[in-house]
Amino acid sequence: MTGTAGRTTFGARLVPTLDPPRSPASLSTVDTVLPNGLRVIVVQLATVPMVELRVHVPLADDRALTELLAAGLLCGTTRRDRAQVYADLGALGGEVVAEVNPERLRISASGLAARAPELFDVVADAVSNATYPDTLMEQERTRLLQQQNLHRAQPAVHAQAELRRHCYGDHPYAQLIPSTSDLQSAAIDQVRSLHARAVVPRGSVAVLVGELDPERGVELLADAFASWDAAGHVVSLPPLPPITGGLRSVPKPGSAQAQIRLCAQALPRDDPRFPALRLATQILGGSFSSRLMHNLRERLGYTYFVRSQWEFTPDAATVTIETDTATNITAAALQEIQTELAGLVHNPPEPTEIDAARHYLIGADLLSASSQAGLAGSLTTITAAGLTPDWLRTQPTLLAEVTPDQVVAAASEFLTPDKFSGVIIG
Amino acid sequence: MNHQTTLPNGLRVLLSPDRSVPAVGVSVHYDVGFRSEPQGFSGFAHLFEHLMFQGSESLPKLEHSRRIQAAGGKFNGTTHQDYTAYHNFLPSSALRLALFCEADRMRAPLITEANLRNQVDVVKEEIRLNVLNRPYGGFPWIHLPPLLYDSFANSHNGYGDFTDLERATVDDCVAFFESYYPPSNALLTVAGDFDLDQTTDLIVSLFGDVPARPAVPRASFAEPPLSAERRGEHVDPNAPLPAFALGYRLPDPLTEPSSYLAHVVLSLVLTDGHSSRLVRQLVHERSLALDVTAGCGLMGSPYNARNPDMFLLSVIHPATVQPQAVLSAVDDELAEIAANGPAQQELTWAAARLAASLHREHDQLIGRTLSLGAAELLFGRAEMVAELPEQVAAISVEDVAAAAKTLCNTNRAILHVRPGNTLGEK
Repeated sequence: MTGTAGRTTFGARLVPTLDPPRSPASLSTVDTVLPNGLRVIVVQLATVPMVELRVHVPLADDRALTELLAAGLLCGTTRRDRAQVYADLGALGGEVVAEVNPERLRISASGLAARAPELFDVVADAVSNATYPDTLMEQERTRLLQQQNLHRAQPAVHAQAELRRHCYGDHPYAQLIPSTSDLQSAAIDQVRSLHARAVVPRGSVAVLVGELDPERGVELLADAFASWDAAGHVVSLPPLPPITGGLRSVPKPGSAQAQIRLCAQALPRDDPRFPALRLATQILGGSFSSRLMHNLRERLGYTYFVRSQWEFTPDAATVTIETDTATNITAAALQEIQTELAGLVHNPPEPTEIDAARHYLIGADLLSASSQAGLAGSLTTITAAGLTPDWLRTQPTLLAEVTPDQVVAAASEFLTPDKFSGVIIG
Repeated sequence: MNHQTTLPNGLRVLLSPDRSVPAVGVSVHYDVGFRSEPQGFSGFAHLFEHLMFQGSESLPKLEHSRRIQAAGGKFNGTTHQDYTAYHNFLPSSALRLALFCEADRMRAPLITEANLRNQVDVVKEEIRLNVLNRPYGGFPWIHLPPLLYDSFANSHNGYGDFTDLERATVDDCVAFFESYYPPSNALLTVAGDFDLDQTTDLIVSLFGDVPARPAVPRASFAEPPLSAERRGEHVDPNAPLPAFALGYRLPDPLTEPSSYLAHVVLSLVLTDGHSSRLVRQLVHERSLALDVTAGCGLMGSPYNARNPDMFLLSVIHPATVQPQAVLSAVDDELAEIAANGPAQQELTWAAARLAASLHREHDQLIGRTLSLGAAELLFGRAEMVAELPEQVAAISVEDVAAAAKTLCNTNRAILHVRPGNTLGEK
């Protein structure tokens, strides 16, 4: 008899338990500040013969200017024209991408470890000496205008923009995409002055993970970035206002799906109640095994995905709930979400559910830290939030100390349906 | 080092130990993809992939995912033209669990009417999310194959029509499982932190009693070349800008590996990176396009399907630019490369970029696991993954010129996308 009805003659077998956990090897790390004020963190992780560099520059300014700045950063410097920038990168298999959001400029660079000094030189040259040549900048402006048009047409982008506008009104954090008129009228001279005053080492972080000795990595970065000597300090995003606003409907006739986007105030990572709230949101919607996914997708078939996510700004944190559903069951889906939110209190998580969530979070961190790109990304996020790299190591213990009562307390304080503002688009 | 073995029931096993990080990747590749589904059953292979997560003899619905995630792991399934892959990425303490779960569903997946109907709903939401409600959803991977091929196997939509999906029955699923999911039609790949001998014994004990049954003989999907160029148009209600895609038949990667690889290198010379021919010319210098992407493979990844595979070149361009102007520019560039070949420097860059991008993919253990599994299943050569950078470095200017010449002299398919969402601009 074959297993076609999910049955064999032998019958169900005992599911094995886990083997004893193996801790990751402690990675050789250096965390220091260069003479120019740039903080550098270098970690040796030799999964592949590459290096991954992330330069994080807090940057909160006019969005048209910051988008043009990111677009133009690699268009040429006092030492290289654009063709030379890309020729130099080509020879070393290097990739450099500069992108901005309302809070920061991030430069991500990756290349063969054997040619790391040359990669760092291209990045350092850009941040120190970018010239934003007029002709190329006009090309970039045209390209950006078209790109933003494409970008805005993405339902997920549109939904995020609507949510932020609803929650934060005029605050710069809500400026996800600059307006067409702002992009059209921005002066390239203003981009150059923005760079001069705001793309500075003091307050910025460079994270380097790769196949190299960390002390040598620091030397290479110090060499490359020595010319980045701009005075001044970075400009951070101003504090966010508290979330207000209830639920707003944004009609979008003819859409094949509706987007539900809800947002509630939460806690920053260094708050003592953070581990409990983190577990509560994990149980709610942090993975396929979450209450929201099991209900809305696997029981009701309302959606392909539903999730809760954390968003952090320098001084605050929020939890968002997102799902896309067919338009005829959006109201029902919203109802189920609100039921699950209330359910965290009325049908509180059992110790097994909390354990599962805790192990998932610990495992996710371990797996992420097992790749150069994953580790570079999480270290950049953590240090940008003002935490030390050690924060990651403290999490397993802090999560293990959380009691079921504390999870319910966190859910009661932050995750009841009335705490969520949001938009329904479609 | 890769170690291979085959169990008495026909299951192939590929083991790649690497003890540097305490994580493992476990994947099972079944030698069936959406090209095998017959007329009237479009989308079936992908739907069945969803059903493989709906429980098995020892694991009720949702238990597989619950246990993997509670062990700190991640999982997913993907359906392709010629294979379906199930993968798990976990701390090494969960290796035994992951192997058990894969063996249990290989042996006896639980297929019920309720779960089938539920997952049909989920797949419909997935299609709405990724295709129907997304600008350029299905471009070009759904809308170009019907122009480039005549057989149902090669031309139909792998996500499926709603009517076909809704007609699927439990009996259909059982028959599909019996035909396409015997152990002799599968490859188990394990990479990462494990002991070779112990794990081999473990695999024998867990998978050894999955009953053998004959595999459906592998069909050839080869079909005659196009006798003339074919054009078609698709109106996209969500797209704000026009687009077009060119599709060409490729040489067989198995019987003409050098020629296939020359086409891969050609695609890199054309559109990989900012100094590539078409990106430089069309996007930066002449503002004729916003995005231009060339590659081998339906989804842009080479070596991800058997013959017939396709070379695709996609362009999104401003509404003010005539598609013929862009098409002429592309044809001119192809003719130029056909006549004179690329510069040696362009090949050096392409080789360096490809090597770096392979490293980036393999930086993540699960990326490495899936690469090895796909290469072994499709072409019987897991080792080709490691050989690729050297082989690319050996491709000559003449080889790439020949590839361009072949494209110029081949009947191709041209898909035009007419935008339906031109009111998006603010």
